[in-house]
Amino acid sequence: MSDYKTIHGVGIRDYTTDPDTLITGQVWFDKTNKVLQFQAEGAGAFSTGGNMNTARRRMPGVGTQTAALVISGTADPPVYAQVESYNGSAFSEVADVNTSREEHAAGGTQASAIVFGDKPNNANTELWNGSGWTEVNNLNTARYELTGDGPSSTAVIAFGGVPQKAVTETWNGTSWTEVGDLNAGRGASHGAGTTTSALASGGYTTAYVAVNESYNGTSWTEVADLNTSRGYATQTAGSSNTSALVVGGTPDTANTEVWNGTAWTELNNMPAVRVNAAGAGTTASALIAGGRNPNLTNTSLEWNDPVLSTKTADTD
Amino acid sequence: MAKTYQYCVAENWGKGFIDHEESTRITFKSFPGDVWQVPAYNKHGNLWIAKVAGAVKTKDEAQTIVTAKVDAAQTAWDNDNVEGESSDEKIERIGAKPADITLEE
Repeated sequence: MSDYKTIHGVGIRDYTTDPDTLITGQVWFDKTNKVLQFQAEGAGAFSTGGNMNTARRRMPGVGTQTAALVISGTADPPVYAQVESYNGSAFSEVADVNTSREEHAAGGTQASAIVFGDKPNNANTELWNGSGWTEVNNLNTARYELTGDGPSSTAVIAFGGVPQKAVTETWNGTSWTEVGDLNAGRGASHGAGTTTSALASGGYTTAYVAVNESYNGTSWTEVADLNTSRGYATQTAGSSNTSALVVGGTPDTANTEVWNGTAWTELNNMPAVRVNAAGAGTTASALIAGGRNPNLTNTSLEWNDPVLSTKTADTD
Repeated sequence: MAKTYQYCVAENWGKGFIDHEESTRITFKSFPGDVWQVPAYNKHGNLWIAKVAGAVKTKDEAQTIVTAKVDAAQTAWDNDNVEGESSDEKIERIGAKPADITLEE
């Protein structure tokens, strides 16, 4: 009879505690519990993150899954000026924005961010330096339900917005400059990327749409549609137009899709529908905070793909 | 007929309520009223309900809780009106009317 060592060339070590540095596929015998364990890579999934102090929706997030900001937002009403910072476990309040906002957009990081636009038709822009907000030069085109993203507070892109605007602007740390328009003007779309490589998916024109456009620093080009038409979803992203995650949205859905630069693929859903939530992070590690699910919520979800975990060999 | 799902009521306390490992082992669904659905006859679902001190409910009991919450949300939606506002404008302002939810056996 073949044994593990014959097949794999190495034996199974035993440990009284889990090995310090686990490797995907590693197998070991847990002497304490007398079970065979292994380190497995599972499909992406949502777990619960910390709860925000204030339930709200229609706000953006910036940063990463473990270092994020959730900025302003509404409870229909009131519209909040509050900003909350997430450390991977819990939210805490930091300095308020100067202008309470809803249906605005943001870019940057937890330490250095920019927020812009507001309902109804506000061009106001504020800059966050890690401790306070300062008003800076306004957008050229006032709007709400716009979308924005960027890796730092000195390189951010803003596009779309209500009423069905195609306008795109980039921020260089000092001022906004108008660049190439979207092909399909729309609000409530989902955005990812930088001033030279961005993605605009879904949104609302006269109906919820699946249209998806890619920006190369100069112009927008239509690429493969979302599988599910929607607006008001949460999009988090990598640093380009080749990597994005879209979750939830209206018509109310818990659906999750990931973009690889060519096509959207459906992944595991959230536990419930979620609309108008803030998002931060990447396609591999994201935070989805607040929104409504279907009622207004202060809860958050953490997305990890793949999920590395220690499993016990059993027959279940 | 054997049931596919089991239900419990548990308040999401935040981080750790559903951890990464649990999220890969079973599929969770949540509903209004802090109602959670996990697979029936499943060791990992049972362990999770015990961890969160979930109050186990039959499907019908869970449905009653969810329906009450949805009814309240629908009534609140019906009563939230702004003079002169169109149907589309209302949906844009507060979202679509909450839909009925039917739990699965």
